[in-house]
Formats: sequence, structure tokens, C-alpha cells
Amino acid sequence: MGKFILKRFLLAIPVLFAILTLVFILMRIVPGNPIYSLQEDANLTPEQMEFFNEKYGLNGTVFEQYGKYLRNIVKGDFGDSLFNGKPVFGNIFDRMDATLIITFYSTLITLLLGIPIGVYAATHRNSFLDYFLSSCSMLVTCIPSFCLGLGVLYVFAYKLQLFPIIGYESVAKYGLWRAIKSLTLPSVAIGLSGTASFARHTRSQMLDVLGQDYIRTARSKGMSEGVINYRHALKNVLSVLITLVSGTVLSHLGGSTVLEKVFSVQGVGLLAYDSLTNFDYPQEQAILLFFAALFVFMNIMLDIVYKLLDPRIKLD
Amino acid sequence: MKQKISFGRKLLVFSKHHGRIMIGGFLILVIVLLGVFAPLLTDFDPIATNGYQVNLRSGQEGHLLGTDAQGRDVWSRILYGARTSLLIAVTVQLITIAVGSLIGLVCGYFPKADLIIMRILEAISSLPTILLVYVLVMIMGSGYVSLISAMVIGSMSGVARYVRAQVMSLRQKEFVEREIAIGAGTFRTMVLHVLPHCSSYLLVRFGSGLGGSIISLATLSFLGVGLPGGTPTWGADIANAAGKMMVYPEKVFFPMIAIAVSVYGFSMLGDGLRDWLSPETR
Repeated sequence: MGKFILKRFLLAIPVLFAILTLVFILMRIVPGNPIYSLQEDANLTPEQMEFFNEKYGLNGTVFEQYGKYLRNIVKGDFGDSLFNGKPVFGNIFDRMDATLIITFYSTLITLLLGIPIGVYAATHRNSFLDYFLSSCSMLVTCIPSFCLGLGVLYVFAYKLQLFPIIGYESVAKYGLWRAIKSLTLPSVAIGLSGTASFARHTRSQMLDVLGQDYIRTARSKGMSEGVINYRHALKNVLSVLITLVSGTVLSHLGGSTVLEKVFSVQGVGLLAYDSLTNFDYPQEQAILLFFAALFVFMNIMLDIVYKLLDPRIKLD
Repeated sequence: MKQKISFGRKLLVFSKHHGRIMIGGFLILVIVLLGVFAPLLTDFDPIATNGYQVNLRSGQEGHLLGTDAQGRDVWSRILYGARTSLLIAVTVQLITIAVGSLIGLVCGYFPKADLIIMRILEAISSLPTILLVYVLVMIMGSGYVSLISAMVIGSMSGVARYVRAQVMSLRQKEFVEREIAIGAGTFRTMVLHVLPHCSSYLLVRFGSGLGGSIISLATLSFLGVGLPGGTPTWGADIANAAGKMMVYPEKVFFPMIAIAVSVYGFSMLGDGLRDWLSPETR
């Protein structure tokens, strides 16, 4: 098991390297030099320009810049934000809580709604509720998550006044419970939009398993439907569903970046949009890296869980 | 005696078995017609602002759905927004299918290129798509070309992976081996023998991808990137109306309906096509 985890981490290195390079290239295609945007405000002298170019690693050829960029990263230095001068990862960690809460909260909603709906639809195949649930979830899928966000904002925050209208009550200031409550609406909007596809996958996997021989054997032994469905079938379905979780989390992370804008939540997603409009490229670079690294790390974790759940799986 | 079956009867039988295709097709047809005949269906310019007639309610001064905060007719913007959405969605999906299959074929056939391209695709798909596309559009500047290329980059890796996997498995099959044995070139084998095996998947992917493109276009224009300001898009209309949502909720609601109906139509069409063309994936 230890060997497997080590191998998995080693395999992540080329992917992370590719991401580093991709992000570097993206940020160098940007027309113009970020220092010029500083110059407009500050009227820099050529010496000062030289100083800033040196400081942000912008002098020399692209290859030299790339080498320097990699050397600095190995040393753990990802650069400073051009906007507020603080280390880029410091800025990310300051705002990370909101984005992470939304992402995991919405994933939880997707799983807790999607799996039971899928299981019900599979065990009561072609019943009225099966059709009803699948058409409801289909309708929800057709509405972009930001529209759902505006919808729940209007109904639950404005009309019913159950939740704060806008903004995020941070964990540091108000404690975890209020923070989670203030992020409920964006999380529900994202969570709902992912539910339908999860329910559909659960349903088809469940139908697949329910058609297997050992289910028939269990039934012929006289086991109750509940035990068959939940102890025998669902357990096998769950290990397959684990592989879908990473895609869901990634799309919810993207959803979070959009919904943060709708609800004015000061999270990493909003920072990503603001940094681009502020020409704060080191910050943008770091955010993209952060998201990608998060995804890669989560995939490793899920692979480990997958292996623990299903010892037959050989992941090479 | 052979009985001749009329076209109408065939259509009836088809629609009985493929209800989804009919429903989806009908909804999309409506949206397409609304977009194409937009100038006949409204007298108002979707772009020109009118400072004297802002925020009119439905039906006032001849504005069917009222006007927005800049005095532009909402109905007219929805009609012209259909043009923008459909045009971009179809273009993006066509290019996605073409570029994605090309990349998939190259990856499947040339292991060296595969090694590099797959790392790039992995890197691309480990970022949230909407953020990646947003960054790309910001880098390339606003406009149809940069918006479409960014959206293609965001959505092509799925197609590329599928075609690559197909190539890998089909290469082991006898009919491809036979083809290579009788001296057919790589290009000929790929285009004439491998690609046709992907065609039903690609068609289904095209149909269901259109809905996804409409959603991501709406999201991008809601965030205010992509097309030059003033271009009628549903997302921009929602963003524009969202500030006054508490007073005029219907102005947010109308473009949402347009998005939901067209995405619903496309996903119905996509699902119907899947059931029809590749029933094994159901």
C-alpha cells in the first residue's frame, strides 16, 4: 500500500510539471508586460523598471525566465502579487476557506441527493416517481448554475429572508457555523446542478449490478430487498461512483468561481477574476496552479479510497 | 403486393419510438426560427439604447417584454441573443469534434506525440473548465474568434480521449490489421476505417455538447467576457438585469427561460440520438 501511494505521488510529478509549464506559457502569451500597467500609475524611471523586471523575473529571454521561474518554485517562492505586494500563496490561503467550503458543501449536496435518487430510480424502475425524479433533475441540469444561484437568492434570501442576501461571513470572524450558513445558497445552486448527472450514473450502475447473478442468488436465498439493495448492490456501486467524484469536485470548483461572483463571496475564484482584470499575473499563475494541484492531490486520495474499498482493484 | 408506406406514417412511427428526438428537435426548431426571423418578429433594435424608455414593464409602449436598464427591448434582445448563442454553440461544437478527433487520431497512431499531447490534455483538464476558458479569453482579447477558440480548447479533451481510446482498441482488430497488411497508408486507415467507428459517438457528443456550449457561453457573457459589450447574449442580459432583480425579477427570468429551453432541447436531442444510434451506452 505504501509503495502504491508513493508511486501515485511520483506519477503526479509530470502532470504537475506540465501544468506549471502550461500556466507559464499562458501567462507569457498575454500581450504586454505587467510592469507597464504599474508604470502608468507610478511613472517609473528606467532604473525602477529594471528593478521591477528583475524582481518579478521578467528580464532575459523566455527560456531564461522559465528557468528562473522553475528555480524559484523549487525554492518555494511563487512570487509576490503585483496588486498588493504580498506573497501570492499567502493571498490564496487568506481566501481559500470560502472556496473550499462551497466546493465540499456542494459536492456533499450532490452526493446526498444524487445517490438516493439514483438508487430509488433503479429499484423502482419505470415507476411514476422514477420518471418524475429524472425529469426534474433533467430540468435542473438545463439551467446554468449562476441562474439557479440568482433564483435561490431571490426566493430564499429576498422573499423568505432565510439567508443573508450577499457576502460571506468568514470562518475567522463569525465561526464555522455562520460561515457555512452564509454559503448555503451558492452551495445549493452548484450542488443541484450536478445532482442530475450523478443520479443518472448511479441509476445505470445500480441497474447493471442488480442484473448480476449474485443478486439473484441473494434473492433466492430469501434475503430482504433492503439487504440486497443496500448491502449487496449499493456497496459495489459506491466503489464505481468514487471515480466520478473527482470530476464532480472539479466542476463544482469551477461553479464556485462563478457563484462567488454572483454572491460577492471573497473567495479564490473571485480573486482569479480580479487578478486578471488587474493584470496581476503572478497571482493568476498561482491560483491556476493551486486549483490544478488540488485536483491532482484529490485524485490521489480518491484512488487510495477506491483501492481500500475494493481490494480487487489493481491500480498501476 | 408491397404496401407503400407514406412519409407521414414513417414519421409517426419514428416519433413514437424516438419521442425525445421529436421534442428536442421541435424546441430547437422554434429557437432557430426565432433567431432567423428575428427582424420580422420585432421592430426594435437590440443594441441601440434609449434613455427615455428604461425599465418599462411588459406591454408598455409596445415592448412585449418591457425594456432593460438601458432602454433596450428585452424581447428583441432575446431573439437576437438566440442568433448569437446558436451560431457560437454550433461553431464551437463543429470545431471541437474536428480538432478533438484529429488530436485523438494523432495520439492513437503516434506514440511519441501521444506522450506530449496527453500530458497537455491532462494539464488542461485538471483546471476548472470555466476558469480556463475565462483566462484564455482574457488573454486573447474579446471577439468571436478568441471566444470560439477558447471554448474549443476547454471542451475538446473529452473527444480527443475517446477517439484515442477507439484508435488504440481498433488497431488490434483484424480488419485494421488486414488494411495495414495490404499496404494502406496510415492516413487512409485512420480516415476510412477508424473514424467511421467513432461517428455515432461523435454525432451524439455533438448534440449533447451544444447544450453545454450554450451554458458556458451564457456563463462567460454573464461574467462579462467574450463578446464586445452590447452584443445581445442571454448571459449578458441576465448580468445586466441582476442588479435590479429585486424590483424587476422578470427581466432576469426571461433570458433564463431562453437558456433553459434551448439547453433542454439540445439535451433531449442528444439523449434521443444516443438511444437511437448507440443503444449499448444507455
